[in-house]
Amino acid sequence: MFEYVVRRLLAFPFILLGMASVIFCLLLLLPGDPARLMAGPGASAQVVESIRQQMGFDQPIPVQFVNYLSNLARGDLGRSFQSRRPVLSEILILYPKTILLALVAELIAVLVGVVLGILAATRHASVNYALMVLSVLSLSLPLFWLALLLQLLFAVDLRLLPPSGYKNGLDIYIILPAITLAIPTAGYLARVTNASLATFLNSDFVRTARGKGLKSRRIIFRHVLPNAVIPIASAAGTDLSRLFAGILIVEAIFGWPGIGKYAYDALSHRDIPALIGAVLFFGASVLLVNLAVDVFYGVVNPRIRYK
Amino acid sequence: MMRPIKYFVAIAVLLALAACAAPAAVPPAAQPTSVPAVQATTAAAEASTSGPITCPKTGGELVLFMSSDPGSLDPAVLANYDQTITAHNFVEGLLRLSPDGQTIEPGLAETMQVSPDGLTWTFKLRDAKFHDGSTVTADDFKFSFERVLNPATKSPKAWMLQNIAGAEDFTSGKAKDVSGIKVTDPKTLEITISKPMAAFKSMLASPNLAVVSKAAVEKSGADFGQQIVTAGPFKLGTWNLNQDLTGTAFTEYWNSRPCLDSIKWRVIQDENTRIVEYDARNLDITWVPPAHWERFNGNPDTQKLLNWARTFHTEFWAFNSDREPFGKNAALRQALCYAIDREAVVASLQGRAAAAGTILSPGLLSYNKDSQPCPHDVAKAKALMTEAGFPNGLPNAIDVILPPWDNEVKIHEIYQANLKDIGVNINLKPTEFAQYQEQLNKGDFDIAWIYRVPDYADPDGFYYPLLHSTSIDGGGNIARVKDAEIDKLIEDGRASLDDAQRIKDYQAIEAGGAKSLPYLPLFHNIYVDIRQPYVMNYVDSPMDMHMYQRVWLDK
Repeated sequence: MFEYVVRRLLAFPFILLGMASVIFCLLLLLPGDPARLMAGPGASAQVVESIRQQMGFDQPIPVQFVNYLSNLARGDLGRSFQSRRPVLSEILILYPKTILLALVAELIAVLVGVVLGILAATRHASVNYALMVLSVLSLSLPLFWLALLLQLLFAVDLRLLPPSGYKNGLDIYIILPAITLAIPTAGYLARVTNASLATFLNSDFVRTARGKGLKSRRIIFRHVLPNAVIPIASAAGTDLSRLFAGILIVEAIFGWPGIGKYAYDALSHRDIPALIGAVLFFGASVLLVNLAVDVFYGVVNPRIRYK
Repeated sequence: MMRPIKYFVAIAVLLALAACAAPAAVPPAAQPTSVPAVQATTAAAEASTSGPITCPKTGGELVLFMSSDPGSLDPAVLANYDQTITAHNFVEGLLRLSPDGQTIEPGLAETMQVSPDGLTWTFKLRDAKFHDGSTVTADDFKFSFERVLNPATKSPKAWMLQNIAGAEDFTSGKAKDVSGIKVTDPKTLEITISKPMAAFKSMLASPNLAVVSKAAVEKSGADFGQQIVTAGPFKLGTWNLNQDLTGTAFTEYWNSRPCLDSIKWRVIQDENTRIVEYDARNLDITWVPPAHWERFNGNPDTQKLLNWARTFHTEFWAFNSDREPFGKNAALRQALCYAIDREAVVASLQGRAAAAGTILSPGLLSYNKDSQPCPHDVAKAKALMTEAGFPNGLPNAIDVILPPWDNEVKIHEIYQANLKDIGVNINLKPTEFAQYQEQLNKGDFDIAWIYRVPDYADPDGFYYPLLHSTSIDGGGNIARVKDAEIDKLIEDGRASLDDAQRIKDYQAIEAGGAKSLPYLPLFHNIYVDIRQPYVMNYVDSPMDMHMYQRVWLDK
């Protein structure tokens, strides 16, 4: 197992370099001349050209590419075109806030989703039906609309929570954005939990357990859940990547100073170093989550062994 | 091991989401009617006096929004909207724009003298201090201007100083300094320009040409943008990246301290969130989005809190002069002008725009008050279509490119319906902003919707970029107009220091070349925002450069 994790970790830098190359090429295809954007609309062609030279945009593309990758390999993400500050230092301010939001949202989603899924699988069929309708609903709601409803309810009508903003990480400010992000994921996990439990509830070992007179609660928590947890963990893991995409919208609506808004601004300003930096950090997060999920499989199910 | 395709999908999703997200980062689309504008003007007149700041009450914090983090407040690199709306409160140059945007006031220069030939400009500096307590000297100004010109600074506004004698030798590396900027004593700065230029005065009021402390720039180096030492009414307080930016009152400001203790700009991109925060009294001033217009404008209590600013924005359709059929056919362009129902659009904008009949925005020198927008007259438009050689309409549909902003697309659906009436079919092509700009600069379009906010409050800020032949390919001449007569009028207007002569030149441009409509004027925007009842003496800026040193809080 240890060896497996190390091997996976060793592959990360190469995957990230690959990602950086793909993004670099995609950005080359995008129209919009960064030197012209920096020089401003009134600049003469000569000024634009001089900026292009300083930024190295006049070099052949393969040379730019190699320069970029070699800087990257040394951990240098370059300076933002917009703020002219090192991209890495900006991302290190913002990234932890995004991760905090994502983790809190995921935690809420897992707790709520699994509990609802268990309820749906074990209670009367009408409860099951009602919960599954709710779950489909939560999955189909557009995030921005959900966010607005929550803002209106909790911040304007009830005045319980601040509508937007950020303060010291784990503060009441995180509640609304985290809940907004958590709702679709919770709905999804409730469905997965329900389906996964349903498979096992009809299996032979459950019938045996029932036959020997075990209480239904004990059957669920002792025998069924440990078996059902793998599909749930897998769903929670893959869904975390989807949650990262939702963060872009949620950060914009709730004014959460994270990396999603940063990536959005970077794209609209053609701030290439900032954009690549942000995407690499997103990519690294997805890689780590997937590794964590794989390791988790091995821990909960001794039948899964990695070589 | 996860398959690479998944990463690719993740990136694609991220990029796609980023591309579709609402474009709140740019000044909101069109806004304004006419009635309350009169009151606004009166209020503006009171607040724009250049005398010392007087505060009925001192203290408190004003909370405002910005749609994204300005990143850098270095005067030399200021260019985007969020930089402009904040920076003006931190920086100051020789001259400054009055809060109502109508006049140029003395800033750090106590007096300005222009030689009779219009070439030598002499400034006497007043006793003023930088935010770090050091004295502002003429040397700092020379340093600041050369810094903007220096290609290593990559300033987007270096062109404003290109006209100074010796600037070219300096930028090309032939000279160590700019010979046209002379420090005659610590308090006197003498600038020589190579040809007379009236608009130079407006340019000097631009925040890009504000003074920076030479010592501080040398100390901070590349991080100066986040550690600015300037001489405006507010100094830099805490700045949390992508979260908020605070300016605190500079008590040693030459014109006495601002009334507020501090201003805080919060990064709030979403316009609905801003309104929610306004309703919760967490935000003191915010732009009014269309969905909330009736609620605020329909209630007398909130209506009086609305501030109307007739901005210097003008919106146009630009016709590409190099392409058929519009480029060479003035009658066809005029037909479109009469076919468009501007009043319907003003109504759809809830009255927050004024139909435009000129390129120039009202409020600027030479604006002709008698100019009328084309009326909505389908019969006349059809007659012009016949005159243009298309009695049965255009055979092919024409693409109109515009940024992907929902509000703008909705307005264009009205134009689309209007033009159907005269047999002209248009396809709307909402285009991602950077690509849209690229297409504009390269002339890769038939018709483009554009808006123009002048870089400096002078008619030259419209005519030179939009119509001068040297501004083609990136300089702002989107319609690619090449007309020697117009060039000559623009150059004369630039060179003259006599306002009467300049008015004549500019009105001749509107009456002559511009009448053939390389740019079809659509609207002058009116920006309406709402303040909390306790925010006093706030004036909206037509240049998006709101200034808060005279604002005070009655609470």
